[in-house]
Amino acid sequence: MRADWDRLDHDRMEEAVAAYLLDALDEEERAQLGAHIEGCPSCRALMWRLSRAVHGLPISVDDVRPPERLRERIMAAAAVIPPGQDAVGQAAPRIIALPVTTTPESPMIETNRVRRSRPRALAHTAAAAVLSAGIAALAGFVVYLNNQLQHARQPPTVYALRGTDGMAGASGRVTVFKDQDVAVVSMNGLPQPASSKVYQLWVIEPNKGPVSVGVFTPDRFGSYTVKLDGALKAGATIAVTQEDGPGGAKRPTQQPQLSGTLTS
Amino acid sequence: MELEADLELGEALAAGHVRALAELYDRYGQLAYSVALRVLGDPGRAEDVVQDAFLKLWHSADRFDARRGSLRSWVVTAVRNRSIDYLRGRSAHERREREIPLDAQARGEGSDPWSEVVTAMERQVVREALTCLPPEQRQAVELAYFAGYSHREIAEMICVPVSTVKGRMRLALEKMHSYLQGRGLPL
Repeated sequence: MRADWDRLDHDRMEEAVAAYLLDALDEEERAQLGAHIEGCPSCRALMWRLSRAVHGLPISVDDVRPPERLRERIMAAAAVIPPGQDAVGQAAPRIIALPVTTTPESPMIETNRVRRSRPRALAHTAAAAVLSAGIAALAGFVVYLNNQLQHARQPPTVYALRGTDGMAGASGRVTVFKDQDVAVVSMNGLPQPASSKVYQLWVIEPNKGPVSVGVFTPDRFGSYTVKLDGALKAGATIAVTQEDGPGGAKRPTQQPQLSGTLTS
Repeated sequence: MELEADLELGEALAAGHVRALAELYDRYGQLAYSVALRVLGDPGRAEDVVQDAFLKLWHSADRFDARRGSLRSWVVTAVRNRSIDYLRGRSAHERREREIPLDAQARGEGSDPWSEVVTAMERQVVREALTCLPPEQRQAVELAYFAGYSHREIAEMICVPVSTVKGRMRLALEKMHSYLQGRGLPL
């Protein structure tokens, strides 16, 4: 008698495997079938076989190209909340924010969130300190920014960075979120800097001198992403040079090997 | 080959390399968006769902196990499930309206011509497999997978017993599997 009941139960479960794979069972049935499959090789085999067909279903849809901005949105949001940290996580961000330094006489970046006033002479020597401060400030800011990025009414503007000479294989993008006064600079294909050298990122406004944003070393994939707080003005150039480590240079000592201009 | 590529990319994702996320998107972003658009029928909402799904995958990349399925399945399943989650929050009336076929969508232009050719061939075979199904079996599969209806809702909608819907789903998937296997489609 018990065997008959088991048989009936098995038949009922087996018949539901396809609905299970198509996500068409209610929660209770789903839990029952899940428990049954644990101890039923026959149903497991059926599930594996039918799952091949289910995997094919999404391929049948019309191929539609997503808007270019979608990639930028995802990469920008990923840059401000790294993996392993959810919206309320406390872990220090892996992606380092490099607050743009400003000078009293010629404010480079206008921001109503973190307005910095720093003598230009200190900008480069304080790079390490700025990085530390940036990390601390970012910890509470990433959640806010991510929400803002996801609900931004104004689409971001994307500018290309192009490599030359020793960085001819490198490229990058500057994604400007005007709503948030934030820009994300993503760079790829960067060669590892020479020994005792670092890369240094600069912002150069029209008719003004270069201002150091900070120094960095790319990851093993040759990638690096930084977030810039504050509004970047139209016509500004973002540039990367290779300088002496660890602190970088007061002014660029070479022509930028990776750069791009925020054309209006 | 795909397993090795998936393993490598999966490890890079789990290690938190932003470039790996970019590569994941470059490989499967178009398919993900296409699936989201097919389910939701709303380009703006499809964008939101794809972004949401990719970020979720980014934050849980260490859970990816290449032995349990491909990266493509991982991505598509995440996008499909999030799309359905959104859809199930809407009324049945809205969902029926959304089922109008998408006729005027722009065709994609993949950045990798070879990949595009392979995907196009796979798409052709899967569509043939679906076309070969009796209409009532195809209907049961599509209402469940792309519209997010439960077997009970489908039974009520087309006025047949729930057991009939389950049977149609099983027969449909069995036939599709046989067809795809016969064409050597490695899914």
